[in-house]
Amino acid sequence: MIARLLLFLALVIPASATVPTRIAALADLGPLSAEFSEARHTPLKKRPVVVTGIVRIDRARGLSLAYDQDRAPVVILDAEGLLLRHPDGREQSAPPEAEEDLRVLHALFAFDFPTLEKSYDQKLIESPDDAWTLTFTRRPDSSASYRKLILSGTTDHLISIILAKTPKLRTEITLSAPRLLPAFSPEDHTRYFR
Amino acid sequence: MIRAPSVLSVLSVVKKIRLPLLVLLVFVALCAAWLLSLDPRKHFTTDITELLPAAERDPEARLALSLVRERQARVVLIALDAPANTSASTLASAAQAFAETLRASPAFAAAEPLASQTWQHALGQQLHTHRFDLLFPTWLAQFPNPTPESLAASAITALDAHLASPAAAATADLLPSDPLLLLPNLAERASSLAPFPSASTSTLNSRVSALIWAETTADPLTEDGQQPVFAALAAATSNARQTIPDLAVRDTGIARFAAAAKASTKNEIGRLNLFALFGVLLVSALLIRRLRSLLHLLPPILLATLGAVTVTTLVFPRVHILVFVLGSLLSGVAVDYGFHLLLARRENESYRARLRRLALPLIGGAGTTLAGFLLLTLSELPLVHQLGVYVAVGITCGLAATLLYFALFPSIDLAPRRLPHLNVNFNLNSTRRRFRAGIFFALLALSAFGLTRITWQDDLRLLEYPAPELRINDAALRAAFGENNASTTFLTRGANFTEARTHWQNLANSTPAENPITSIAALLPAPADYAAATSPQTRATLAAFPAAFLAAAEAADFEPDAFAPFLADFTAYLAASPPDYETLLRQTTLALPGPLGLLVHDASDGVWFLSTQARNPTTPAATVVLPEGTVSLSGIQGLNTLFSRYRAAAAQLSLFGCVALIVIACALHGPRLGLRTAALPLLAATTAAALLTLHGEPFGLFHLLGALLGVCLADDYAHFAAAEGDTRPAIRLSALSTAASFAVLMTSAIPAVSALGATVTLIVLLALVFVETDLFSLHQPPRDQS
Repeated sequence: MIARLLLFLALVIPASATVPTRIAALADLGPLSAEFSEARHTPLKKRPVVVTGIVRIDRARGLSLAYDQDRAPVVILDAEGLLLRHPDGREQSAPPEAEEDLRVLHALFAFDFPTLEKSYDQKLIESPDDAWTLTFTRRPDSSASYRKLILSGTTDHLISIILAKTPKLRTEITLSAPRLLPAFSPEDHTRYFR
Repeated sequence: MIRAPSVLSVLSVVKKIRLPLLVLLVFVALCAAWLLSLDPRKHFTTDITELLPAAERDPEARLALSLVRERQARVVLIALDAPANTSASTLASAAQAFAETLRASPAFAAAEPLASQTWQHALGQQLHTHRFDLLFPTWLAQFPNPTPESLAASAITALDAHLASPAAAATADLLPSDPLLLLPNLAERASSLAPFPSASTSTLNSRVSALIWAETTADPLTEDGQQPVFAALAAATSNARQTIPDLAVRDTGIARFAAAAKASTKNEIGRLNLFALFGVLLVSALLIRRLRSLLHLLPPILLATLGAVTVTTLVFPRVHILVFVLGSLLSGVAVDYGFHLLLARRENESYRARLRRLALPLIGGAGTTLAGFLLLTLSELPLVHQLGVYVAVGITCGLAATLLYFALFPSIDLAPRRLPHLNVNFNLNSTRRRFRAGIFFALLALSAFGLTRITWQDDLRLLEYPAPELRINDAALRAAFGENNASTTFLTRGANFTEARTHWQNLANSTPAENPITSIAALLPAPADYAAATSPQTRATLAAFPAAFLAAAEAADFEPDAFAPFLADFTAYLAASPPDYETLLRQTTLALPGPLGLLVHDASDGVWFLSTQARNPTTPAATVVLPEGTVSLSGIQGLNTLFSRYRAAAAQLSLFGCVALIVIACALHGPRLGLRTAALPLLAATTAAALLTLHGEPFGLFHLLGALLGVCLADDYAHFAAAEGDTRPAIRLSALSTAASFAVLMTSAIPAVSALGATVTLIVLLALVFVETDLFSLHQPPRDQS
């Protein structure tokens, strides 16, 4: 779950020595929302479980995931960490074992690429038609839970994110083109952020 | 012929003094022998909870007291603050080194770095291993008439839903062995059982912190639970600084507060005694000429204290140290008899004749004080009860010791100074009578007005030495450990696990679904569910469950082979005989790691579980009707309510004491003079209370005790004032020296001691003014002058 969120944070990856400016520019987008589809591959099932929802990103308040399923909690990630907000109002913080992943997320969120580079090696592949793929591969000495993070997109937007623990245990997320907003409404702030 | 009378006279003197001396020596020898045989650790206590009765009938107070004496009191919370650029692994190593040093010390029973999650993982491992014994009965109880097929269908449906939830990513590794979601569901129910650190940054700016939970071996209120603990913490700090040299360490626990209070109280007792002695000497130097003779007042005071300590320790197996602190007031009372006996001395009057002349005021003063403090022995509160015995015995010993001691030195003369400006003409004309009556009624009105405005404040913390820095540190550390005041705590009891768990289930069922309770009991099956799950009939049904589960999984597009770990464990569970319920729960709770072990208690006196619930601001805890076996713990507030009850009982006893005072005064002096004699201390006390109230001071138990003492002292002065001759020099010396010593108590940092000092000082000074002005017309001119 934590690592899935990490993928969404890729939307706000800032400029880095190894990330081209055109990709890093995606991080400077203002408040936005996008539809997503998430395919969860697990060794337990013959076919992946697919869920859908809407992601909202606000540079000041963090990001929020609202799933389409009934009774699914809103997932909020911000500078204070991870929070699950259940439909009945209960709020659940991340357990301590998620600390390592949260630190990576926070590093992404705070544009702290030196911290990210402690856990992952980066590799960028660009094609002539402006498509690109940025792969983060876990370093052997890292205790991060996901082996590989793969982002792919175009100049305009991020298209897909793959988060893999093993080849059979992975999540693939496909994003629609983002809708840029002037600002989120106060109701949206209350419901989707903290 | 010349020698014979001298020898005879010496023999006669020896014969005369032999008996009093012999009595005093035997008394000292017996008391000393008893006191030397005592073990101070066993007989004296500084534990504030022992101020409340061990057999308190209020269940909440009884449980609160037992909790204070339980393992909870031995917890030490520690934060290691490292520079911000410290890596997580370096900080974890330092925390591990710190914890290992503590564990190696005999002063600590346990020490766990929270960030290492060792104990959380240990709990997870324990629950996973015993998930079918502990969690499966509760899961099974959801289905009223289970068949293998219906159970399998329900399990697969729930598993499918879980895989589509955001929580699935965190449980992916667990599901092959737990497709019934026993552990994920439990984790949600019991997520707040052990609060996790809320932040990794410390209160020190730009530093990162590691938190360590530790438990000491010894009671923090004892010496073994303090200095060895601090030494181990210092050693652990040194070890951890080998990894991070700039490491800062904060810790908190009852031991810190107890040690600080002990040191501060020790310093304060020394300071107060020094200033009190200086004050008494100053007053004495102003009022008498032979200061050296004052030393003769010491033996009766010491004998009174010796008798009081001896009898109190004979009567009570454990005596709180505050009894002796408050009992120091005994000196102020006992010294009065000496003052009066010495300052009323007349030339050429035998000691026996002097005693006959002073018998009435001495017996009157001592008798009323004795009656007042004897009534306190009826109190349920150990402090008040013990104080009543201590002062009552002390007064008796003090009076007896004074009479016996001065029989040995009948000619001692303190040589009082004459203070002409204080002399009052006692022959009143009608104008003066009217003026005094006006003053009397004005004071009466002031008292009545002030007493109607009294507010009460009953707080056990008034007895503590204030330690604001420790409090701030404690609050910061507890917040970092996730503790807060936004929840209500319940304690559910039973004779054994079966009864306690049944009572807890009733509590859980009575709480609203939107605000459930959290408890370690949620990890344990209910007795009925366990019995149902382990019955032969259920076991026979479950034998077909693995096959039904595989079929349902296959039909729902699952990979059946993925559940091999679950099927192997479940088959083994069915093949083994189920453990006895009490044994299972006892073994499980005994193995609970880290702080979780504090949430359940299993001993010969029964079993209890602690539960918490988020406080509902619209429903005060006091209005909720709790099921049988459960009580709400409101912490110090609950004990304060109890303290209020004791204060009210002490006030009632004090009122009876006032009635006794009036009765004794009337019996000794007749109704007219008796009522005037009794009116002096009562008006002094009510006027003092009114003045303190108008000054804005809320009243508590210690004002009440101060008032009782003040009334006893003022009553002594009234009886002395009603004696024949000018007794004012003795009263003046006694009152001013008492006021000087109690005024020093007003500077105490302990609110209770300060309150006591203020009340006594004010009453004594008012009583002195009443005597000096003869407001109650008590003065009896000497017979030879009339």
